[in-house]
Amino acid sequence: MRPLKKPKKATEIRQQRINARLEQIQPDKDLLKQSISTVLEHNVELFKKMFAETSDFVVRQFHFGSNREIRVALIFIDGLVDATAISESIFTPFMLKTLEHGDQEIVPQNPYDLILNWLVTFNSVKEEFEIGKLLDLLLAGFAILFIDGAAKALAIEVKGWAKRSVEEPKAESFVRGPREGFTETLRVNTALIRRRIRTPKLRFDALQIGSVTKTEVCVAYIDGLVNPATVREVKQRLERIETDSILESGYLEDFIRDNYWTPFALLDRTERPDKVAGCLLEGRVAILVDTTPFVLIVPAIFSGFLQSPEDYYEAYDYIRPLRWVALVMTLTLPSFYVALTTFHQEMIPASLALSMAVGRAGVPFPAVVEALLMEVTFDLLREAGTRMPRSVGQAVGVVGALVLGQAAVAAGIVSPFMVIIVALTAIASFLIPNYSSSIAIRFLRYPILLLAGSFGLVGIFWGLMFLLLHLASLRSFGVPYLYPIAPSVPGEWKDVFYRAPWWAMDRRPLLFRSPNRIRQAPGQRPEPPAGRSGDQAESGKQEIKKNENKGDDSVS
Amino acid sequence: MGIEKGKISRWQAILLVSNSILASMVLITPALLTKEAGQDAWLSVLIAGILGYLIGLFVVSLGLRFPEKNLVEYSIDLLGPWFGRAVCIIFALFFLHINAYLVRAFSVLLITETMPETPLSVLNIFLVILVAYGVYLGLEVFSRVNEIIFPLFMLAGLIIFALAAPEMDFEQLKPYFTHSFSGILWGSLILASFYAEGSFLLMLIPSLRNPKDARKIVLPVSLILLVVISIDVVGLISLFGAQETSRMLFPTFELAKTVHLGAFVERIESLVVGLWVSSVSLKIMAFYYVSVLILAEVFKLKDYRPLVLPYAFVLVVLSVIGWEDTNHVRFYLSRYYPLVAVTVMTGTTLFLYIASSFRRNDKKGGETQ
Repeated sequence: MRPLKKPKKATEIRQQRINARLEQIQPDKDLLKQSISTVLEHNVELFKKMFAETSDFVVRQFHFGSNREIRVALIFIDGLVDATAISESIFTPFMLKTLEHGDQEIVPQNPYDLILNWLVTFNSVKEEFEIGKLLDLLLAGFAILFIDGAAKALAIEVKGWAKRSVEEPKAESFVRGPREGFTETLRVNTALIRRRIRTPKLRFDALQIGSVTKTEVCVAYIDGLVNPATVREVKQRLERIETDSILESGYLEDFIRDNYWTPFALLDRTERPDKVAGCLLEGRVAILVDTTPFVLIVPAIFSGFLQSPEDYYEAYDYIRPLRWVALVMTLTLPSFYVALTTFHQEMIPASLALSMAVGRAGVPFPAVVEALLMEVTFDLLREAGTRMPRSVGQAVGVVGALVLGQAAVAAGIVSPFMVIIVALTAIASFLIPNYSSSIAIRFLRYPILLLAGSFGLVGIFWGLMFLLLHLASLRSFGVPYLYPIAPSVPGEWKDVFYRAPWWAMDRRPLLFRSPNRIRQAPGQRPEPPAGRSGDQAESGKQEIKKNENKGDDSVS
Repeated sequence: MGIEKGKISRWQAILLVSNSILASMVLITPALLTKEAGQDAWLSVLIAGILGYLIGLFVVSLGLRFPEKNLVEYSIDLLGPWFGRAVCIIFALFFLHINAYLVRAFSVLLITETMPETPLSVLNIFLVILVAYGVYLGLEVFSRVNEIIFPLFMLAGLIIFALAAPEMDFEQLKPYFTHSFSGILWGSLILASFYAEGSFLLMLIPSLRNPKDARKIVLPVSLILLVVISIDVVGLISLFGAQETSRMLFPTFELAKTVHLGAFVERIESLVVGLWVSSVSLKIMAFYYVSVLILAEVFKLKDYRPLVLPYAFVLVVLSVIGWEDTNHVRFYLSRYYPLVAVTVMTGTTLFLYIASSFRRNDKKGGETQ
């Protein structure tokens, strides 16, 4: 595993200045390390001062006990907590139950134990005395209960904010497969994965990144299937990040990818828990970030971007090879058209060449310019359609169809053949399931188009060679990006150029260096029942039985 | 020890060496062979195949005497710091020279076939940029790319020959054995000189994941070369006849012109040129890499990368001024190049081999005393 280069060290003074600036937005560091005081008012004042006039910071002070002599204060952030839960499970028992029990039981000598053991009816309560930790919990949606005279406070988990329910993922659509998608809440997301992989070896190691946003980040992996070095490397790279904010997993992506100067995504990302589960079972590592439904998966390989989880659910699908064709088409189809019409007319069959010449008769531009014009138009339309509200998006589609399909040809700016080529390229680019890779490939069309316009087919091959060299030089967390094509491992092509049946894929991919490569018992190919086709089937069936007995508890 | 290099597997090494020999051989030699040996050229191919295998074994056995060291390190050990370095510089310059003629051949092909008006230097620079980028990225990277390109190149070649097969007339191979044996031998020498290019493997042996595998590289490579070049020569002779083949500049390329499938696939020679660009650029990359690596080792640099750019400038200039015109290139290739290549490559290797034998005896003597 090749570790990332350490970022260049700034000079001492500069570093100090940066640190000082970062700390300005933080509450006093020394204060955060202190313990809370036993005097209730001090604590409440402290927190009030920290939050100043913030409107969503709520303090509720009250007395209870038979003589109303136990003074407590509850502070929480309005909106992050479940208001009904607080009133039902904190205020109700405190104010009503203490009355019912009569005078004897409410002994003011030790109100802390009383509250902890009798009154707070929540399943998750933490005892904490450090101001900094209390502050973190408060901001994470805990309610903090200060009790006069106690040196510890209770942090009660009453998290409850408005959140989206589990919905179908929007960015990845499909026909067959589970329809759950990740949400913006980290806990929900981990649960979605846990539901699919029921083993204690599934680990979610938590980190906090961002000095201001304090974003929860989870590194998920299956212990025993993953290469420990990969996990270590992922954590190291994450811990090295010193920034004030992480608002989306894309922030992390920029910080931890191996090589920034490449248009290709060196990390996979998905909204689908089934895909994450599949990747974890291959021995990969997932990085979940709170507040975003997009989960990062490392290491990523190029061929992975041509795979959709659906491939694994639908049998006998020829979509994989089709995607490879689409990839080549997206990259080179307009360039081939330009090269053929500009440099190698002899390669076009005579009858086709004639009709092409007729189509191009009134067009004032050379083929390259024509192609560039149309490709840029298409990219403009696509971008407009993606970011606009849906109703406007449709209008964009209509305008695009008219401009691209009809008016441009009628006006003689482009030839009808060019429109066909651009449309085909556009459709081919939609076949690449991963959005970021699709963007990268679409972007690379332009340089290749220019090369084709200046050097013909040789230019195209030159460009493709350059691209291949670049791809072959990339690594994602130590894994060669073009694996298993180069370095070639023909044994694993069954999951690259097509999808072999599940009984044939009995090994985990080699590249993730999983310590446990056996996925399942070999030879589970279904055979026709005995008696229908003689002895051979009989032996096959016995083999299956044998394998079943062995079991395939690959995790243990 | 030395400069840090990537590691390549045995399979990658086989493909890299095959490609590095084949890329130019398949295009250039049939014309030269048929000129010397006429329709008996296939016999030259067979003899050259055996010669090439022997050269390969010989080269590898030298390399395996010092499996952990590269050429520069052990020639300094054997011949002393000055003379050892001089021998290595000869190697490096020879590869520079091969690269120059390869770049030139590439431009000549493009100019004569598709782009008659493009200046030579533009095409030279165009190719050298790609190659320098590959070398800059390193051995591991371009051997991986070669792993993809070489099989595709072979597949494409096979398809083209299969499509051309209906037009072939194998009667043209007759009469047998009409040419003088010296002609046939000269033909095989020409071919063997291309085989001798494979001695760049000397510099790669320490980069093999398991240097002992080097011996297992020779046979597969020889077989691949023998099969491909036999098909090439026999196919060309039976398609064009020996006389016409010998008059062509790049006969394999001419073959692609005759290919057609129905009425919609025809004149695919431009596609062949395109494919050939990828193959020949990988070949140049391999030699380029070896030669900058040798130079870096000789001058004790920590990394070969600072040399990549200056080398590119020299290469472009040399490829432009090295030959006056296309005929000059052709004449040079058929008359002088084989002698130069065989002398330099096999000569220096032989020299080092003998020196190492002496040294080994010395050492043995010293130990027993």
